Amino acid sequence: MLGMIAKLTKLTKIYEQPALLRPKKIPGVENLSFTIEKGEIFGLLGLNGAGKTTTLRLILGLIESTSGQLERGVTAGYLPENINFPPQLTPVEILKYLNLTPRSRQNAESEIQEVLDITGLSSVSRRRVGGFSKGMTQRLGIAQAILGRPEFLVLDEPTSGLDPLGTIEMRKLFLRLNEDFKMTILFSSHIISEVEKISHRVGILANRSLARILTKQEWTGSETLENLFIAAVT
Amino acid sequence: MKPWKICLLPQSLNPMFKNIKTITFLTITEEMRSRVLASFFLFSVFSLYLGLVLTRLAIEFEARFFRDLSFALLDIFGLAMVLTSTYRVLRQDVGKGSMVELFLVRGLKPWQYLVGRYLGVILTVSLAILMMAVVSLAICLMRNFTLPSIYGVEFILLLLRLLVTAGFGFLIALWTHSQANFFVSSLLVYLSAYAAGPLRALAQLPQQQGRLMNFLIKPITYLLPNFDLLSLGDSVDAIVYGVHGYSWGNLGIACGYSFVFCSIALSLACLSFKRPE
Repeated sequence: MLGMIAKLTKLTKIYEQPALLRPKKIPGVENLSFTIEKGEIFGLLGLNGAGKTTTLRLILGLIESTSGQLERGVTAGYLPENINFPPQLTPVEILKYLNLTPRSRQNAESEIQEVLDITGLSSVSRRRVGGFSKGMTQRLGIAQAILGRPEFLVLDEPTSGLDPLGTIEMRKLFLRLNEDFKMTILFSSHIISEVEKISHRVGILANRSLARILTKQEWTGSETLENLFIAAVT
Repeated sequence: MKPWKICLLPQSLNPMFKNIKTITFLTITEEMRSRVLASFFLFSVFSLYLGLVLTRLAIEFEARFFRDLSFALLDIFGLAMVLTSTYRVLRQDVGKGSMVELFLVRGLKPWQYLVGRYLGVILTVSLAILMMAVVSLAICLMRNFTLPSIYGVEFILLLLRLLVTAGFGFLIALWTHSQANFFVSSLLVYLSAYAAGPLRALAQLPQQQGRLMNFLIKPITYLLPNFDLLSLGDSVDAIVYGVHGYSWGNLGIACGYSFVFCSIALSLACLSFKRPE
């Protein structure tokens, strides 16, 4: 590893639900402390409601933490869990609008073409997104996330809702982005087999806090990731 | 960079305007391809045609009947388009995973997003209204209906009313949580905007001074948009026959009022614009 991409120190998020007299406090995540190293694929594993999405949104700055510290010095690309693109636009138009800061004005179009080629969407680049399948929408989500070649990719449940072939394609794409384009990837999932295939390290979230961080050596040895996960969450 | 651009825009403000422009054009593209807006436009043209058929009933007053009907249709369809567009562009972005999150991750500020959306809605609806007005104008020319110049002022005032409607529409869209709630609230505010002027006049009557009701009515009249400033109302005939004038000063006040009202409404909208948590 060549450095640090993000560092979380005792990061806590408590949501406030509006109520008539006093807002109801709902914990999102509590006392999260870990680092994301440059060049790695870090998987966040947890049950539904464990705080995976909250953690990602805190790291991206989409929500503010209640307490704790976050250090992140690089630009990030983001793929939300259920992405909603305007159905009346084409992938090229969506990418054109989202490319707020192209690397160079002259090459803005070639930049878009490049991400469409990487994600295999070139052939449908002029078709309206409204008719896209889940897999194609997800690929467009990846295309917008890697637009402008960010150093850091944050992916929220990137393979949820995809068919087996789509999942395999997506996995290959992540490995390619990590190896060929040197992108650091942080992703969340609740599918253990997916996480163990591509991650270098895995953080297990249980009851809205970080239960354990595992390295690849730990689950490729005698113990499986599944067993380690069950032990951590129960 | 072109020299005139350097004169007009300081370098530091450039990215800010570029971001707003991006959101404005995104909104225009979305709205132009929206079937709802296209249906409104087609239906309004059809209504104009029906109105033309009905003018035969208004013996001797065909021109007046058609002119008034056209403006009423422009008003009604303008209102429908503004409210539909406002609700659509804002509510679709409230959920997680929407385009707004992708923009915010890229460094766009929430206020830039809202201003861009507002300008996009206004430009699209104004364009649709302008096209409807052109159709009405073409019919007037074909049927040799006279069109006094004061109708030009009425058209500008109509656009200003839509500007103000979009302003409070943005605010209501961010404060309400259901479609029905939004449309009912917006319609009530829109209708009360026509009553704000008379209510203010009522509150200023000598016999009303010191009454409890007055203390309640007066603040409300200042909170509501005031369409008395933005319409010619029943004075069109008087203006046409030169009995009553409408000066550039009146138009200036109308423009100034609309600008201030929209600025306040948008500032409040920016303050209450919360990202989904």
